[in-house]
Amino acid sequence: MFLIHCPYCNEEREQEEFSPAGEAFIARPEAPEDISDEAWADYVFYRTNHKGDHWEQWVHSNGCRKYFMVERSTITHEILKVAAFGADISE
Amino acid sequence: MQKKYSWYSLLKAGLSGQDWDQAIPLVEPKSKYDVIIIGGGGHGLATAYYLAKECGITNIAVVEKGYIGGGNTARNTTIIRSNYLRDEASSLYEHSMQLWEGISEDLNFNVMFSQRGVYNLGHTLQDMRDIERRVNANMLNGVDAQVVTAKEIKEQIPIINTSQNARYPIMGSSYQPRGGVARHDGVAWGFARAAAMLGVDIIQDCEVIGIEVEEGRVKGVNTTRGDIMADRIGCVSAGHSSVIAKMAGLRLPVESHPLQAFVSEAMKPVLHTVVMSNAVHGYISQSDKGDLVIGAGIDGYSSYAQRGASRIIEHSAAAILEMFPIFSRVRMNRQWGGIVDVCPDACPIISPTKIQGLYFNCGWGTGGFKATPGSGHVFAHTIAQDKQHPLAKPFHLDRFTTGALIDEHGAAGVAH
Amino acid sequence: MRVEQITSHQIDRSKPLTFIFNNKKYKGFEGDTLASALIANDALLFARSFKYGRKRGLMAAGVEEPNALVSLEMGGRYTPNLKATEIPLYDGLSAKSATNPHSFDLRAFIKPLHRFMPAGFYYKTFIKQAVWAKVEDSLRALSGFSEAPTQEDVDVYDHVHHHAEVLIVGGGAAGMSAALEVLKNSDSERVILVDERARLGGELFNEFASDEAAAIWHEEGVADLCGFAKEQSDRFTMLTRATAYAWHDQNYVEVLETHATGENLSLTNGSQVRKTLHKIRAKKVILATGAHERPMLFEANDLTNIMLSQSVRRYLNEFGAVSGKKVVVYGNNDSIYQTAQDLHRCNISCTVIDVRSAGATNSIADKTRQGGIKVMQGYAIVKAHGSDKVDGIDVALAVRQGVSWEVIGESESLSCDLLATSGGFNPVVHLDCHTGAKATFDEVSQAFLPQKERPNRQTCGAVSGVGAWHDAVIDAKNKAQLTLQSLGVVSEVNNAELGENHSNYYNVGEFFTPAAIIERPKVFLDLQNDVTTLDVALSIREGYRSIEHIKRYTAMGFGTDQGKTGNINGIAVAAAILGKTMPEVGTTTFRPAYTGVDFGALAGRENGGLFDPQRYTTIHDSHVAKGAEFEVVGQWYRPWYYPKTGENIHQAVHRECLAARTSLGMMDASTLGKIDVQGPDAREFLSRVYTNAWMKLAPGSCRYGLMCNEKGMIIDDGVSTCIGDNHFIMTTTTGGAASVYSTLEMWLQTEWNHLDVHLNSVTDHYSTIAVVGPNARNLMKLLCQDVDFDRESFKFMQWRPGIVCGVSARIMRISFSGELAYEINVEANYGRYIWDQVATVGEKWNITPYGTESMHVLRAEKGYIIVGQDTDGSMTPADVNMNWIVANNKPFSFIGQRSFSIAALSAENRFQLIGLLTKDASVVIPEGAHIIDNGGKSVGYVTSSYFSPMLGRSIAMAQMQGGLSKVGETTIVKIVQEKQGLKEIPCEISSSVFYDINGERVDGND
Repeated sequence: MFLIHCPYCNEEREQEEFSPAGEAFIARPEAPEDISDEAWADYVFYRTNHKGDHWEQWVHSNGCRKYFMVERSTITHEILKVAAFGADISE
Repeated sequence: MQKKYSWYSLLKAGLSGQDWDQAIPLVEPKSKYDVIIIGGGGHGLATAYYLAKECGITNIAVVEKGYIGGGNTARNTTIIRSNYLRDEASSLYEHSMQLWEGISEDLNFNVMFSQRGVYNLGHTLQDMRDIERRVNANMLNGVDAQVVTAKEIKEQIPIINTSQNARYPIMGSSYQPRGGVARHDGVAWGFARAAAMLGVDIIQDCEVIGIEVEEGRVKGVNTTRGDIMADRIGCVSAGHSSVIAKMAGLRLPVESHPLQAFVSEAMKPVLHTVVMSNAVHGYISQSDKGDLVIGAGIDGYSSYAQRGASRIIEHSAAAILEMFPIFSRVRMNRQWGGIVDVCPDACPIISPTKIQGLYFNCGWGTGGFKATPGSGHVFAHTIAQDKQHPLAKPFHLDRFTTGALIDEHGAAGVAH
Repeated sequence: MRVEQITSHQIDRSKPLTFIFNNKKYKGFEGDTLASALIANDALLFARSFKYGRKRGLMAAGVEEPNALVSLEMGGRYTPNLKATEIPLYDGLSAKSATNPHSFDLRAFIKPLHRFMPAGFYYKTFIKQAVWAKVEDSLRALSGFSEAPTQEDVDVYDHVHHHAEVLIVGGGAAGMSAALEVLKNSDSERVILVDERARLGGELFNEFASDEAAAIWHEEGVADLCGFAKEQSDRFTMLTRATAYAWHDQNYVEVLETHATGENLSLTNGSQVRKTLHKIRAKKVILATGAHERPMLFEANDLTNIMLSQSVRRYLNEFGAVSGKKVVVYGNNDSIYQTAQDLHRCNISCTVIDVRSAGATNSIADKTRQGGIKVMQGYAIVKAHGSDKVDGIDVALAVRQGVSWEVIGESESLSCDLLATSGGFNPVVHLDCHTGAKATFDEVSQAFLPQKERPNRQTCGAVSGVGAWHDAVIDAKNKAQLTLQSLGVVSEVNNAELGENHSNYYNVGEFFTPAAIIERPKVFLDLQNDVTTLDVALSIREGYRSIEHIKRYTAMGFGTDQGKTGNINGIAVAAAILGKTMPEVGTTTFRPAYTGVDFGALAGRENGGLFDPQRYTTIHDSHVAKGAEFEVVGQWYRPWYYPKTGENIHQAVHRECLAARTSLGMMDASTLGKIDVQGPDAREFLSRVYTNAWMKLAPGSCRYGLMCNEKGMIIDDGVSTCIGDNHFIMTTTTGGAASVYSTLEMWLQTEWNHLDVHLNSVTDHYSTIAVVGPNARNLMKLLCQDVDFDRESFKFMQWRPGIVCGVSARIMRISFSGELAYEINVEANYGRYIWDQVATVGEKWNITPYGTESMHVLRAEKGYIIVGQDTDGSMTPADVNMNWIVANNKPFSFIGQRSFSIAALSAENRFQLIGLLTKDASVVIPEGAHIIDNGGKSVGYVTSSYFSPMLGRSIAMAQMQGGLSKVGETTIVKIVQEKQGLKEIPCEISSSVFYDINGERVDGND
């Protein structure tokens, strides 16, 4: 039950307005047909599932409907950073 | 004081001021074992027990970072059933069910396995098609199952609301008479005591902080209580499986999520069976102590915090009231959350890894408790023989690469 | 009895009330709780204990009460398991003990057997499954407290959201002081103060008799707060009878406000709801939650009229109620002297027994003696006597030897009829720990205090170990100032000094756990679950040594009081046995709810029709008027079939199907998901998310598409219409609309944000009416004059704009039945008008509305799949024999394409879609029946099965392992007969297309 700052609405809103959309940085392989079954499985199924500060995707589903990235502690639920796709997240 | 529990030993203990031995002896870790089991939950303890009992390996350590049975074993709603859709899943869970049916005697410890039957409700025409499909599959696989009508449900559970006033009226259900519940702590303790009696070391307050791997072979673990060596290591750490895997440089196809549950204040018995509804996300039974034990839905984000959104609890309460309006003035006494490791096909992983001697048993999602004995049993054989137990075969990690998913999502046999 | 000389602060003696308890009539006063009124009436027995059936009375005055559980009222207001201490008395109240103390009790009767039934008894008994199965239900019958309700709740519950800068939890001296300080030093900050009792003041009322300043401060404070609540109601909310029961991440606090416990709301002038769940998001939280007293340990410490000292004081000072005439006050801290003095002031005889030896506390002891009260220092109660009620005690000398206590010498007996005990105070840290904060043990106050520092939270008063009210007031001001500073409201903070010894105002002695006491029987820790010190000792002896194991093995703290009084003593006992310190043993985990929360309050208004949104098309009323039965699909209510008088579903569907095949049918298809896809890259986008090709689809045309996930499994299907080169309207399944839309958005926004495409969900924007049948063209010609409906100029899978009955429409010539059909799309609000017009004009051809059931039959005759029914998330396009729609040569590897080349997805024994024709044409296979092989093993199952009116026989679709290679073979389908086993149905495996195999009907027959 945390608050999330939507980088598009520029508002801090209740988690209820948002939906989680999985781990961030799971990029679709550029040429799926050229990669091995293992690499394809890694993309489709395997996850880091990190315990600690973790980048993930959320969508403002009951708001602007934009997807964005959130760095959140999976231990304390504290949200450390929020970023739009394509934004520089290196600080 | 003799170790075996019996009327005679109870009588004797009663006369001697309850002079019992330690059921779970306090031991110091040795430097080397034949097998290390990481995780002292029900599955891990069951694995150790069956290794010792059936596989001739007794030099085993179960290392647990907290206290045994403190994770998901004690954070679920203890529902036990084997009415799964897919042959692979139903074979595994039915194997488990058959072990449940003799487990208290086998362990010499009453885990209070109570076969009060499980109803899986259907609320739509598609739910009912799925129920028909699953019940037929169960019957063909020798698993007890029935399709029951709303009227029959009402006869068996008079307090249930089968009227059309509900948002999703109950149309019927599947029913597994052999399904039921068990006492979760008792399961962990029963396996622990029985394993300890066979010589297994159960080492609590011992957190694994590293896994030693040499030339593709596992060598041992580093723990908060020193290094412990073993050639074979079974990881049974549920929500923390990815964390343990990372120590060995592996990734797993699982995500950890909060799964919440709550209990009411204790009342006189009024609900004598287990009622589950995937459609409205409500799972309920009444414990022998009298409290209603209610499972809620899963939170969609990943977390290791053992707590989730209260919205989920509210929704579950609403779902329970849809089915049982008389519980409106009953009060929630306590709520909690566990960390479940969810697999993409809603089926577990019971598998060797690319590291020789390192095995994983994880990905049980919301359904692990019911599998405890079966999971431990097939995993023990998998570790002992370095070869998957036939019932464990479909649950190999490879299936995510080969595409041979089991996909229990298929019909309404998914949650809990 | 009621003490006359007390100017009791809660009750109004001019307003008598009558009530019923355990079928007896009593009198009380307005302001009483059920508990205080019963004490005043000397009705002291409340319950039988859980395990031993021992008779029990009140122990406390607040929510920590473990014994006095009652059920309230009957019928639709019957409420189980309330604590008598939390029920404000009202006229006509009727309550019953949860467990009747006056009836015969088997558990008490078998007293000699109790020694054979320690903690963990059941783990060691009834080990044979068959035996357990036999005895379990009779053991169940002994458990539980109140009976469950039997009727639906007649009351309702609300949820209210709040946002505040400062939330203060607890309205005692500290909470009041904090609230006032914040309010006085800020202008616009929103402040909420919540307290569980009806009147602000908390434990402060206790001080009025001995400290006039307390009474004055309280009166002024309440007046000031009420003034703020009235004059600044836009920023200050005061909630009484409101308990903060859970604290979640980022200061999200849930508060349950009670408007009525069992009262009939219609008889009061106030609220229309029984309880309100307040969801408060606060920037800062100040916890002023106070402390619970803990009892002392001795044998038979559970007898009726052995109570907590401060509770005895509260009943006396607030309600003028006391349950004894000869009182012993016993404890390890200075607060017991206050209790004694208050009792003495009311001419109630009392003796103080202080377990601490003479010395440091002599001055207060001497002062008490001078007042004429007997004080014994350095003595411990070893045992209490009494059958129903305490009537005496054994005391002996107690000595602190190094780190442990000893009891020495012979014990002597004293008589008493009320025993008040105080073993120190447990700060109410529960809320603070809900989000993971760790309580830390403080040696000075001998208590677990809240974690020192936490962001956006302060604690003050007794919860921080500040016991004296005047110190609490200052502490609260200081914490309020710090809070205001962190909000940027004040820049400097001048913290005032607290009184000397404020951190241990009551000089609490060490936990009194000598072996001579805790090794005795019946020294109760948790009264509700009958957990004794011996149970803890046994637990540890058996190897259940972690405090969490001890809790679980003994059930300590599992009751409705959640161990508020007993758990800390249990930790102390465990520490003594294990030879550990309190912090080494630690606490069990604190979890919500602090006090019970009604399921009804959790659900709020979300029941019945409001449990989940109900979606209706704009045409719904016409369906109702036509007598439709409805099917729930997703959140939608779709017409299932339209029975005429006397028709059953089969007859109606038969009629509807024949109408559509032979003349004219109509159907409301508005619930199908519709997504507006616009932008220069719209085609590229569709090509990526569908399996087939979209680059060349001309404006004016429509195309069917199949959508997979990355696993290569079918997730949705539907027809997309090319409106213009940069504009498509995609349709999805009814149930899949929301997830398809968000999945598509995810691809666009996370992976393909370089594609210039925009999506909009337009499901609700349009009504869709399908007209189906050989006469559809004739009908359309009458409805719409500006479109050329000639079969050559308006072809199948094309669309045209037109005016239908005066309304601008998009007309698609698509068909889900194989018949000549058109779908009329109009703005949603015209839906019903057009539907009714179509129905009227169509009368000429006996137009027949049909629902989802007939739709299913018509499409099954043609072998069209329903995603989610004929597929289940593990089906590829190849599995459903639809490879024709997979364009593997598109430049972009579409979603799911890569997975098709994985070995398991092309295995020969995959489940594949086939048709089944029963040998006996009249037998309709039940859906969900399984196909079996010669060995009796399941090799597939029936997904769809109907009686086809046109074919005059049954048809079925099924998933069968390797089924496509077995067409023409005979197989067996097994079905479950109602609880009687399986019955076999011989069938022929066929193509899943049963009717109009060459697709000739789609152009009509004119």
